[in-house]
Amino acid sequence: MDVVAPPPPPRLGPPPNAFLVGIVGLLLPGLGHVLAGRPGKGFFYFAVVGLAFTTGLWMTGLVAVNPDRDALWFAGQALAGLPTLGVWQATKDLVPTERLATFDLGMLYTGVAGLLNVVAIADALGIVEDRVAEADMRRRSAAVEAHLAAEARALAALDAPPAGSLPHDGLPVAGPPTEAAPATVPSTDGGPAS
Amino acid sequence: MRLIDLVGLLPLALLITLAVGGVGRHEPHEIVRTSLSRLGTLVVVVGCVAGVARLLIALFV
Repeated sequence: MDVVAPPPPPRLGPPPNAFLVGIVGLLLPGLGHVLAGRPGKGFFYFAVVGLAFTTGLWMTGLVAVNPDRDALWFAGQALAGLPTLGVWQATKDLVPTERLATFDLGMLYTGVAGLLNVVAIADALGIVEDRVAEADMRRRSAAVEAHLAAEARALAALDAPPAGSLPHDGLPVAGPPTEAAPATVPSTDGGPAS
Repeated sequence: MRLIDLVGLLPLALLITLAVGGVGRHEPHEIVRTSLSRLGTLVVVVGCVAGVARLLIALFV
Protein backbone atom coordinates (compact mmCIF):
# COMPACT_ATOMS: atom_id res chain seq x y z
CA MET A 1 0.00 0.00 0.00
CA ASP A 2 1.38 3.35 -1.01
CA VAL A 3 1.57 5.78 1.88
CA VAL A 4 1.17 9.41 1.02
CA ALA A 5 3.81 11.51 2.73
CA PRO A 6 2.45 14.36 4.79
CA PRO A 7 3.18 17.80 3.41
CA PRO A 8 6.12 19.60 4.94
CA PRO A 9 5.22 21.85 7.84
CA PRO A 10 4.44 25.43 6.93
CA ARG A 11 7.36 27.78 7.23
CA LEU A 12 6.35 31.04 8.70
CA GLY A 13 8.31 34.24 8.66
CA PRO A 14 9.54 36.38 5.81
CA PRO A 15 11.31 34.61 2.94
CA PRO A 16 15.09 35.08 2.75
CA ASN A 17 16.80 37.19 0.14
CA ALA A 18 17.41 35.11 -2.99
CA PHE A 19 20.63 36.92 -3.88
CA LEU A 20 22.04 36.29 -0.41
CA VAL A 21 21.04 32.62 -0.58
CA GLY A 22 22.82 32.26 -3.92
CA ILE A 23 26.00 33.94 -2.72
CA VAL A 24 26.12 31.99 0.54
CA GLY A 25 25.45 28.74 -1.31
CA LEU A 26 28.30 29.52 -3.67
CA LEU A 27 30.65 30.09 -0.75
CA LEU A 28 29.85 26.83 1.04
CA PRO A 29 27.79 23.98 -0.44
CA GLY A 30 24.52 23.59 1.45
CA LEU A 31 24.72 26.85 3.36
CA GLY A 32 22.14 28.43 1.05
CA HIS A 33 19.65 25.76 2.11
CA VAL A 34 20.30 26.57 5.76
CA LEU A 35 19.53 30.21 5.06
CA ALA A 36 16.44 29.21 3.08
CA GLY A 37 15.10 27.26 6.07
CA ARG A 38 16.04 23.69 5.03
CA PRO A 39 19.11 22.80 7.13
CA GLY A 40 18.69 19.06 6.65
CA LYS A 41 18.79 19.38 2.92
CA GLY A 42 21.74 21.74 3.23
CA PHE A 43 23.63 19.01 5.07
CA PHE A 44 22.62 16.54 2.37
CA TYR A 45 24.08 18.72 -0.39
CA PHE A 46 27.16 19.48 1.69
CA ALA A 47 27.73 15.73 2.02
CA VAL A 48 27.17 15.01 -1.67
CA VAL A 49 29.38 17.82 -2.96
CA GLY A 50 31.98 17.25 -0.25
CA LEU A 51 32.15 13.53 -0.94
CA ALA A 52 32.66 14.11 -4.68
CA PHE A 53 35.32 16.74 -4.01
CA THR A 54 37.29 14.80 -1.41
CA THR A 55 37.14 11.59 -3.45
CA GLY A 56 38.53 13.43 -6.45
CA LEU A 57 41.18 15.06 -4.31
CA TRP A 58 42.26 11.69 -2.97
CA MET A 59 42.34 10.18 -6.47
CA THR A 60 44.71 12.88 -7.68
CA GLY A 61 47.05 12.61 -4.70
CA LEU A 62 45.91 15.98 -3.26
CA VAL A 63 47.13 17.96 -6.27
CA ALA A 64 43.81 18.44 -8.03
CA VAL A 65 43.41 22.16 -7.37
CA ASN A 66 45.98 24.20 -9.24
CA PRO A 67 44.84 27.11 -11.42
CA ASP A 68 48.27 27.48 -13.03
CA ARG A 69 48.47 23.87 -14.20
CA ASP A 70 44.78 23.05 -14.78
CA ALA A 71 42.99 26.35 -15.34
CA LEU A 72 39.95 24.84 -17.03
CA TRP A 73 39.42 22.26 -14.29
CA PHE A 74 39.91 24.98 -11.70
CA ALA A 75 37.02 26.94 -13.23
CA GLY A 76 34.74 24.02 -12.43
CA GLN A 77 36.29 23.34 -9.03
CA ALA A 78 35.92 26.98 -8.02
CA LEU A 79 32.15 26.58 -8.12
CA ALA A 80 32.47 24.53 -4.94
CA GLY A 81 33.42 27.75 -3.16
CA LEU A 82 35.57 28.07 -0.07
CA PRO A 83 36.63 24.39 0.10
CA THR A 84 38.37 24.82 -3.26
CA LEU A 85 40.06 27.98 -2.05
CA GLY A 86 41.17 26.27 1.14
CA VAL A 87 42.53 23.23 -0.68
CA TRP A 88 44.33 25.46 -3.15
CA GLN A 89 46.02 27.40 -0.38
CA ALA A 90 46.89 24.23 1.52
CA THR A 91 48.29 22.28 -1.43
CA LYS A 92 49.79 24.94 -3.68
CA ASP A 93 53.30 24.05 -2.58
CA LEU A 94 52.89 20.36 -3.29
CA VAL A 95 54.81 19.13 -6.33
CA PRO A 96 53.47 15.93 -7.90
CA THR A 97 56.25 13.39 -8.19
CA GLU A 98 54.29 10.96 -10.32
CA ARG A 99 51.05 11.03 -12.21
CA LEU A 100 48.61 8.62 -10.59
CA ALA A 101 46.55 6.33 -12.77
CA THR A 102 43.40 7.80 -11.30
CA PHE A 103 44.48 11.41 -11.80
CA ASP A 104 42.13 12.18 -14.71
CA LEU A 105 39.22 10.50 -12.97
CA GLY A 106 39.96 12.50 -9.82
CA MET A 107 39.99 15.74 -11.77
CA LEU A 108 36.61 14.79 -13.17
CA TYR A 109 35.29 14.15 -9.66
CA THR A 110 36.47 17.53 -8.36
CA GLY A 111 35.15 19.39 -11.41
CA VAL A 112 31.78 17.70 -11.20
CA ALA A 113 31.67 18.51 -7.48
CA GLY A 114 31.70 22.20 -8.37
CA LEU A 115 28.95 21.68 -10.91
CA LEU A 116 26.89 19.78 -8.35
CA ASN A 117 27.09 22.83 -6.12
CA VAL A 118 25.40 24.79 -8.91
CA VAL A 119 22.58 22.25 -8.77
CA ALA A 120 22.42 22.74 -5.00
CA ILE A 121 22.24 26.53 -5.41
CA ALA A 122 19.45 26.17 -7.97
CA ASP A 123 17.53 23.99 -5.52
CA ALA A 124 18.02 26.51 -2.70
CA LEU A 125 16.74 29.29 -4.96
CA GLY A 126 13.73 27.12 -5.76
CA ILE A 127 13.01 26.85 -2.03
CA VAL A 128 13.22 30.64 -1.73
CA GLU A 129 10.80 30.97 -4.63
CA ASP A 130 8.38 28.59 -2.91
CA ARG A 131 8.59 30.59 0.29
CA VAL A 132 7.95 33.84 -1.55
CA ALA A 133 4.89 32.27 -3.16
CA GLU A 134 3.73 31.00 0.25
CA ALA A 135 4.11 34.44 1.81
CA ASP A 136 2.24 36.00 -1.09
CA MET A 137 -0.54 33.41 -0.72
CA ARG A 138 -0.79 34.08 3.02
CA ARG A 139 -1.00 37.82 2.40
CA ARG A 140 -3.71 37.36 -0.23
CA SER A 141 -5.66 34.98 2.02
CA ALA A 142 -5.55 37.45 4.89
CA ALA A 143 -6.75 40.25 2.60
CA VAL A 144 -9.61 38.12 1.26
CA GLU A 145 -10.62 37.06 4.78
CA ALA A 146 -10.63 40.66 5.96
CA HIS A 147 -12.69 41.70 2.95
CA LEU A 148 -15.19 38.88 3.50
CA ALA A 149 -15.52 39.76 7.18
CA ALA A 150 -16.18 43.41 6.32
CA GLU A 151 -18.80 42.35 3.77
CA ALA A 152 -20.47 40.07 6.29
CA ARG A 153 -20.64 42.90 8.81
CA ALA A 154 -22.14 45.23 6.20
CA LEU A 155 -24.73 42.63 5.18
CA ALA A 156 -25.66 42.01 8.80
CA ALA A 157 -26.17 45.72 9.31
CA LEU A 158 -28.41 45.90 6.21
CA ASP A 159 -30.44 42.83 7.20
CA ALA A 160 -31.12 44.01 10.74
CA PRO A 161 -34.73 45.37 10.95
CA PRO A 162 -35.21 48.83 12.36
CA ALA A 163 -35.95 49.09 16.04
CA GLY A 164 -39.64 48.79 16.99
CA SER A 165 -40.76 47.20 13.72
CA LEU A 166 -42.92 44.08 13.78
CA PRO A 167 -41.44 40.95 12.25
CA HIS A 168 -43.57 38.26 10.62
CA ASP A 169 -44.58 36.64 13.90
CA GLY A 170 -46.05 39.85 15.18
CA LEU A 171 -43.77 40.24 18.13
CA PRO A 172 -42.04 43.54 18.53
CA VAL A 173 -38.38 43.56 17.95
CA ALA A 174 -36.29 44.69 20.81
CA GLY A 175 -34.55 47.73 19.59
CA PRO A 176 -32.22 50.17 21.19
CA PRO A 177 -33.66 51.88 24.22
CA THR A 178 -35.59 55.02 23.38
CA GLU A 179 -36.35 57.97 25.52
CA ALA A 180 -39.05 56.85 27.96
CA ALA A 181 -42.40 58.62 27.96
CA PRO A 182 -43.30 60.46 31.17
CA ALA A 183 -44.95 58.12 33.59
CA THR A 184 -48.63 58.71 34.44
CA VAL A 185 -49.39 59.01 38.10
CA PRO A 186 -53.04 58.52 39.16
CA SER A 187 -54.28 61.54 40.98
CA THR A 188 -56.09 61.28 44.25
CA ASP A 189 -59.10 63.28 43.14
CA GLY A 190 -59.91 60.92 40.26
CA GLY A 191 -58.96 63.43 37.63
CA PRO A 192 -56.61 62.80 34.84
CA ALA A 193 -53.07 62.29 35.78
CA SER A 194 -50.69 64.96 34.98
CA MET B 1 39.02 3.71 -21.99
CA ARG B 2 37.83 0.19 -21.48
CA LEU B 3 34.36 -0.83 -20.44
CA ILE B 4 35.67 -1.84 -17.04
CA ASP B 5 36.92 1.71 -16.53
CA LEU B 6 33.33 2.88 -16.43
CA VAL B 7 33.05 1.28 -12.99
CA GLY B 8 35.19 4.11 -11.66
CA LEU B 9 32.51 6.52 -12.79
CA LEU B 10 29.74 4.68 -10.98
CA PRO B 11 30.21 6.47 -7.60
CA LEU B 12 30.25 9.79 -9.41
CA ALA B 13 27.08 8.83 -11.25
CA LEU B 14 25.49 7.94 -7.92
CA LEU B 15 26.44 11.33 -6.45
CA ILE B 16 25.13 13.13 -9.54
CA THR B 17 21.81 11.32 -9.39
CA LEU B 18 21.55 12.01 -5.66
CA ALA B 19 22.10 15.72 -6.22
CA VAL B 20 19.75 15.93 -9.18
CA GLY B 21 17.17 13.68 -7.51
CA GLY B 22 17.09 15.97 -4.51
CA VAL B 23 16.04 19.01 -6.50
CA GLY B 24 12.51 20.03 -5.58
CA ARG B 25 12.07 17.14 -3.14
CA HIS B 26 12.20 17.30 0.63
CA GLU B 27 11.40 13.79 1.90
CA PRO B 28 14.48 11.53 2.20
CA HIS B 29 12.75 8.40 0.89
CA GLU B 30 11.46 10.37 -2.05
CA ILE B 31 14.97 11.63 -2.85
CA VAL B 32 16.45 8.13 -2.61
CA ARG B 33 13.70 6.60 -4.74
CA THR B 34 14.08 9.23 -7.47
CA SER B 35 17.86 9.01 -7.37
CA LEU B 36 17.88 5.23 -7.74
CA SER B 37 15.43 5.46 -10.59
CA ARG B 38 17.60 7.98 -12.40
CA LEU B 39 20.73 5.99 -11.66
CA GLY B 40 19.14 2.97 -13.29
CA THR B 41 18.22 5.03 -16.33
CA LEU B 42 21.73 6.47 -16.50
CA VAL B 43 23.42 3.08 -16.22
CA VAL B 44 21.17 1.59 -18.88
CA VAL B 45 21.73 4.49 -21.29
CA VAL B 46 25.49 4.64 -20.79
CA GLY B 47 25.76 0.86 -20.88
CA CYS B 48 23.78 0.65 -24.11
CA VAL B 49 25.79 3.41 -25.78
CA ALA B 50 29.05 1.80 -24.68
CA GLY B 51 27.89 -1.61 -25.79
CA VAL B 52 26.82 -0.34 -29.20
CA ALA B 53 30.11 1.51 -29.62
CA ARG B 54 32.01 -1.63 -28.67
CA LEU B 55 29.96 -3.67 -31.11
CA LEU B 56 30.58 -1.23 -33.94
CA ILE B 57 34.30 -1.29 -33.23
CA ALA B 58 34.31 -5.07 -33.17
CA LEU B 59 32.41 -5.28 -36.44
CA PHE B 60 34.01 -2.59 -38.54
CA VAL B 61 37.42 -1.73 -37.15
